[in-house]
Amino acid sequence: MFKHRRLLLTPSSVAICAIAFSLCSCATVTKPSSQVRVQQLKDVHLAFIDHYTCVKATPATWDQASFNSEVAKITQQFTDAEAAESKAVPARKEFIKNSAKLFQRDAALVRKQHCLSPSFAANKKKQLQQNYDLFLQQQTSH
Amino acid sequence: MSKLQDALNQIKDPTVADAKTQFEQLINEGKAASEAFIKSSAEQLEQWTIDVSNKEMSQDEFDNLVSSQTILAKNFVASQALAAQERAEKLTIKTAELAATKILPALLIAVI
Repeated sequence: MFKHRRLLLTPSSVAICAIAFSLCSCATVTKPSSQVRVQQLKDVHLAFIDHYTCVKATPATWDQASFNSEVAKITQQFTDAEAAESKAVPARKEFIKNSAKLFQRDAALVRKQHCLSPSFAANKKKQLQQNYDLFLQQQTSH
Repeated sequence: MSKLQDALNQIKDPTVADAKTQFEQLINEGKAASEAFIKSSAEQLEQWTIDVSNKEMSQDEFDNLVSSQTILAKNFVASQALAAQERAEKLTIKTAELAATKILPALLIAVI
């Protein structure tokens, strides 16, 4: 019994435990930058849908310049995220390219209608969440 | 009677009868699929159809959801084994096309 306790508390075993603990901490706290970028795209895309959802069937006051500026900013985020992905993992580039296409379609719909029905917004957010979450889960499991 | 049947029953045009039956069968087959993407696609397409029949979504909104889902489905189909691709395509892309080209136009005429 005491022998075992002495073995566990030797300086070398404490050092091994400390290294193992710090490595585990890194693995859980730090996400790869690719996942962080996709998570940011997901957040900004969902926020865009929320922003342009009609409140009580009434479109908010339409500001074309503000809308154009917002769309340009988000489009640039997709472009930057795609450019930041290594060519060695074409699936990631393809995923971001497809997600950018979805965003452009959503932006075109808002440009036409000026606001989105609450039903559409709920359905669209479900569609987007599944799209981004499936990709993020696949990246985490790899 | 399911909400989807309620929605489809609003379509009285006899020339769309076969399309309605086919659509309902495809949705039910998709919902019973073991693949999460196919199951979810069928459930979402069913919900979108019900929302249009309840006048809660516009045609443009429906078309947006269908075209976006088609982009995602093409990616999913390509990721499947060759032998499974035809079935996956039928239960996702083809079903969405049927909804957009046959079911929705007739449904909009019926509910407007």
